[in-house]
Amino acid sequence: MNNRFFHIHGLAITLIIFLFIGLVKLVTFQSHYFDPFNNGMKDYEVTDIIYSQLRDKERVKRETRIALVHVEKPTREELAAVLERIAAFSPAVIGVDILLRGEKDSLGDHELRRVLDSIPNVVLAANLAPYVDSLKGIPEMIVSDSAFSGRVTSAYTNFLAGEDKTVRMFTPRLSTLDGQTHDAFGVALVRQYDDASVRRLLRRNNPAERIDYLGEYRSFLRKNGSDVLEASEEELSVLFRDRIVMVGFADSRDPDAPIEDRYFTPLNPVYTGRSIPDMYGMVIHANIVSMILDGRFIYELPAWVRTLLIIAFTYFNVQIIHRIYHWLPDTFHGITRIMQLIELLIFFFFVAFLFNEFRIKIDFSTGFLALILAYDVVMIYESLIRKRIPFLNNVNYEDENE
Amino acid sequence: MKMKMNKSQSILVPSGFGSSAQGTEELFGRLRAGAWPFRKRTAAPLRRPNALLILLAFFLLGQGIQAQDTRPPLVMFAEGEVRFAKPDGKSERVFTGMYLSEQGSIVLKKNSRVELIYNDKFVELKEPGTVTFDKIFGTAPQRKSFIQRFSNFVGRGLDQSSSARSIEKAYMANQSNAQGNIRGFGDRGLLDVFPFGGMVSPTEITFSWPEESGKSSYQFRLVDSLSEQVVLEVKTSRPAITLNLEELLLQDGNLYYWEAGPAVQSPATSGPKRLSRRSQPTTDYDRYTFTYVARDHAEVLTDIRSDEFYVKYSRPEQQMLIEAMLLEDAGFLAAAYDAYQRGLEVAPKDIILNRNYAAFLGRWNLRTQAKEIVEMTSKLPRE
Repeated sequence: MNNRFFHIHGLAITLIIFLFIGLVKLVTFQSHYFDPFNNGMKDYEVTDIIYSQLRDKERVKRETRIALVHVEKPTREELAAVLERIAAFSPAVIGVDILLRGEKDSLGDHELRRVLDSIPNVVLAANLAPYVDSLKGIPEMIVSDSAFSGRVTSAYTNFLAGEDKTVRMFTPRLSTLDGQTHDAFGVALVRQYDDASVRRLLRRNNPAERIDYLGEYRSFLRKNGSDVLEASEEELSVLFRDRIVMVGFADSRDPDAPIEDRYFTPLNPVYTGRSIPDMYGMVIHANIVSMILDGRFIYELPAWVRTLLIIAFTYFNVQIIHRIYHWLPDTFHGITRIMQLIELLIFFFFVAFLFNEFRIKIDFSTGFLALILAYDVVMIYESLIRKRIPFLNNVNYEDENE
Repeated sequence: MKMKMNKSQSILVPSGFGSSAQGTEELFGRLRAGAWPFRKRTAAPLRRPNALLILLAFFLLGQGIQAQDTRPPLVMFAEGEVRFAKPDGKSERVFTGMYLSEQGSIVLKKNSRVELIYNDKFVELKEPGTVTFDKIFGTAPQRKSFIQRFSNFVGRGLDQSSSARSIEKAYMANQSNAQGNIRGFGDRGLLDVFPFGGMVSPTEITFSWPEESGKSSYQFRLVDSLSEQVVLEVKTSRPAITLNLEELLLQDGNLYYWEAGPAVQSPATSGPKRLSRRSQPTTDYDRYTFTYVARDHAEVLTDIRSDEFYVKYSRPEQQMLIEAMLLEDAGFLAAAYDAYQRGLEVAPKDIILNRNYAAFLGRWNLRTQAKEIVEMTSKLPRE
């Protein structure tokens, strides 16, 4: 057996596999006819299964440094009353996940302005303006009305996902075209609570960070805004003192709960395809805060290392499958399929293990696809392609073996 | 030679225990004699042909071996009329953020709801009526599971104190437990500080803080964290003061802080300073919070002190390690610290005790001390 020829054929087959994958990606990214593929598969990662399926749903990790106050579209006056009550119990910082656009009723506006002016540690939600292609950037951050945002910190609440996509990442800091640098909402909250944790995050120098989700709303201490106004001092002191308090829409299990500011996350039990968004923005921010405070960052392999790994993995599999094709033609189909299944299983667990135990994330989906395609491409190559290319066709396996 | 334990050891340590009353002697014996050669056998698991299978097994077992949160039950959400009935017949209103004891019942009125987490288990109650904790979270722990729990604790301690790096990891992993007492402090801020947080019983306790050269007078203040009312303010000639907390009429369940340092002309009288905002320039002393509970921490030890496992099969230093575990789990950090000290008085060179003590200190932000102990134990001869 001349291994050199197997290597030549192996390289050719590997090349065809990646050309095919490139073509599929090109088509699916550009064609609306492939929408189910786009919306179903693009929003799915192997590591999502860990969050959504392998996680023991009975076990809930508790986060005791954050308290969520649930308010449903409060009037300015109601919001002012809730904030004033919270502030009376010395929270470390208050985050208001509500954008206060424009003026409404003058009495309520006045009251809210007065309260916000009197609280030293408030972070108000803001939104980044849409990305402008022609300017190649985000023009500005849209903050609450100047009457409210004048003396408090504003931070953007945007995540790295569209309205219908899964939120897996966030941008810790971002510069807009007006020359300003802004913090993400979670980062701004932690900055006022434990600046060292923010420095640790920013030292990683990543423009975007993956969110290591602790859990859904159940992981966080919660109180309804209306109860805040009626609760005893003892209760509120226990709940708010020295904690990061976030005010906004925390949770609702009503069938007609608002869909606004509600996102898909990897914790969604339906991890691929269409389903109902599972988490409100404020709970995602709470997860981000918890992650930053704990330093639970997710590590990813550099793109070039990942690419090399995938190429080596594909080439190795092509070599084996190609040899089986020639050496065991009768059992080629069965052996190859079993081998693919076992490899997929092992790699799935390996990727899951690295993520679960060490928070190392490897996006190996292209490698998986290449493995699946290797079987068919070997057959197509041998029966169709090789025969039409004189250079490749001149290599006769039988002769080599003699 | 430095002793190192990897995760595989901490998993394997508990195996084989729990089925008999051979207890700590066998556990410690195996840890001393068996654990180190075992490490040798697993020093390079990735080089073995079945390495991947081992990795897979770890992953599959992963959910089961993750350290369980053993803090008392916490109320995550409560609305309506929810009360907690204690075994002594008293009852109190339940509200979000409140820690409950492990014995008692939850009483719900109509249209009320409560969510609790205990041992990482989430429970939501919304039907009116009375439910005991045993029913909510399963039956009371059995003796077998206690031995398992203890061996897990020892294994985790050894794991967390295998190197300076693992001490740092232990500290980071415990950050979410660090409620108020240590948040925002570097390690230096807690060196020679006692008590450094958690819950404190109505006992005689010595508050101590770092000595400053050339200072012959120190000021100590004990303050109610909620009302900022000064409970006690004294001057002392040395950096320590012994108080009987029972005599100070502190309120059960209230959060207090103490602060101390060299006496100055105008004592610290400025407004509240949050630990989390310590970066702000200030001349105030550092503040250390603790929760005063009106019950004796020895209550936590009542059951184990009559248990055969503790009485018959454990040596004094091992008994102290068991007590330290139970006290730390219950939040009595100062009492746990004392238990370690008493154990080390009896057996100052016990590797298991020293390493678990180092892990304890690391978890609670006394990392420099913890690393010194790790370094010291690496030089101790193995028994």
